[in-house]
Amino acid sequence: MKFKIDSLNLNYGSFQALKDISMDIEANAITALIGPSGCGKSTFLKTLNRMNDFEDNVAIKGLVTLDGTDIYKDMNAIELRQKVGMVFQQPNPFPKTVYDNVAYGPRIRGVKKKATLDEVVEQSLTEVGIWDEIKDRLHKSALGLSGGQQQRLCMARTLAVKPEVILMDEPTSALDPISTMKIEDLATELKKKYTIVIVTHNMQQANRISDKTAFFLLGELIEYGTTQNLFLNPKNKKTEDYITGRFG
Amino acid sequence: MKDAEFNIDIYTLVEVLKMSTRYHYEEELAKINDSVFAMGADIEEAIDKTILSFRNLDTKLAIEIMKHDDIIDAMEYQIEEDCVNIVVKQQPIASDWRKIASYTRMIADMERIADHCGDIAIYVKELSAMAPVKVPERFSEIFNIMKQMVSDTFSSFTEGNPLKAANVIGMDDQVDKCFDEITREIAVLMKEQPDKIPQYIDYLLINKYIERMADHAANIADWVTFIVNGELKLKFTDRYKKESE
Repeated sequence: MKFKIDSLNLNYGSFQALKDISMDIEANAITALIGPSGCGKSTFLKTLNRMNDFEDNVAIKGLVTLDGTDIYKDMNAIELRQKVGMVFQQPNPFPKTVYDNVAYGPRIRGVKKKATLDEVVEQSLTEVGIWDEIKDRLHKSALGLSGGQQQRLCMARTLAVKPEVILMDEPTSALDPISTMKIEDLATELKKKYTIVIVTHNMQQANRISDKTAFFLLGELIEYGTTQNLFLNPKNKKTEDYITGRFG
Repeated sequence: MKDAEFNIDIYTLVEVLKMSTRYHYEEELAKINDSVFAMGADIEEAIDKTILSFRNLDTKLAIEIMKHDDIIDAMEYQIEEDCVNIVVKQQPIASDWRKIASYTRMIADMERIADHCGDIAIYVKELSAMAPVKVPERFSEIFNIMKQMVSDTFSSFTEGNPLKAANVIGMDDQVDKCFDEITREIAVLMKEQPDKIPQYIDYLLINKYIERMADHAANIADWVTFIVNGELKLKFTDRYKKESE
């Protein structure tokens, strides 16, 4: 078990965005978070690497532990985010070269030796499967890559700092079907080494790649279980209505 | 002019707003449900006719049963096609998927039951052309239990009642017992009246068809359990463990 979340409550001012969430997130597995817009799934994802620290009026109660360490009390945010990387909905490469994008994390952590950086760049790009495609344009702008390549570059940038967990917030919603499949394959491949938590609006995607699925609604965790059970035989009527598209 | 182009009939608008989020999907699902129910009702009627034609060695009715089999086959193909289409177009999941996946298996068992009605009708026609013989009395019992199984299976399905379905699976043992007894009785009758062996061979085959029909009813009951409870385990463990013991 990688994360243990116990009675987590989160408020934006007077609005309660997460209500008493308790769940365990398994290591080396893909956990999908699903639910309609505004249900709290992205808010929940952000609590796992303390991205909410940047927002005003946020009050968090409850316990989130990573490998047994309380991430809010016994860990600083920098240390946490090195272990828990994040990939966003829109590919967001820095306006720098491909190489500098991947080397960015290691550099700010003090790695200066060129040979070491070269190795990290090659290794990370290989791990996300685009080394062969872009090894000849490492020193050109990352913004010239296609959307799918940019997203994989962002994943490589995340991997370069050797994280343990990768959070993905709708990583394929801006991509075409082929790039989407490549990212899904990649996620399935990466779970052997990393723990992955993914927020997705695409039900088939959750069904295809995740091992466990959590359904959120109005800030509550309605149902959490193995993906197969949740999609074949959901226990809660609300889950069934949502995944079969009978909502509202 | 421009106003007229946007002039939507208020009643149409109300109807559209009343639709559920996946109106056309719901409609397609409902159509498949109705077709499976209709096929079930048709098969129950075919069984009633089969029993009647057997009891009276009614050739005319037997021919009617044989012809009707084509209609049931056509129903099966139509449902199969509708199921494939809805899977490709709508990707049903959860209980919807359990239904569609089960229907594609259930209708095959249903079609086999209808086939066996036709098979029995063939032997009824043959028997009516031969000298009459003493018919084992337990035929009416095995027919009745099998008929009850089929009808309870379909009502467990329409009512979504897993207990009824489980009961049907249990009734299969009674049919098997009847089948064995009728087989033994026919063996004795064959020894006593060797000249009537051709008739008794037909009765033996009819006996076997009835027993198979009950098996198909139990298979359908398994799928009904899966639709209602989402439990495939029952099918693959309990019952089959019991059978192999």
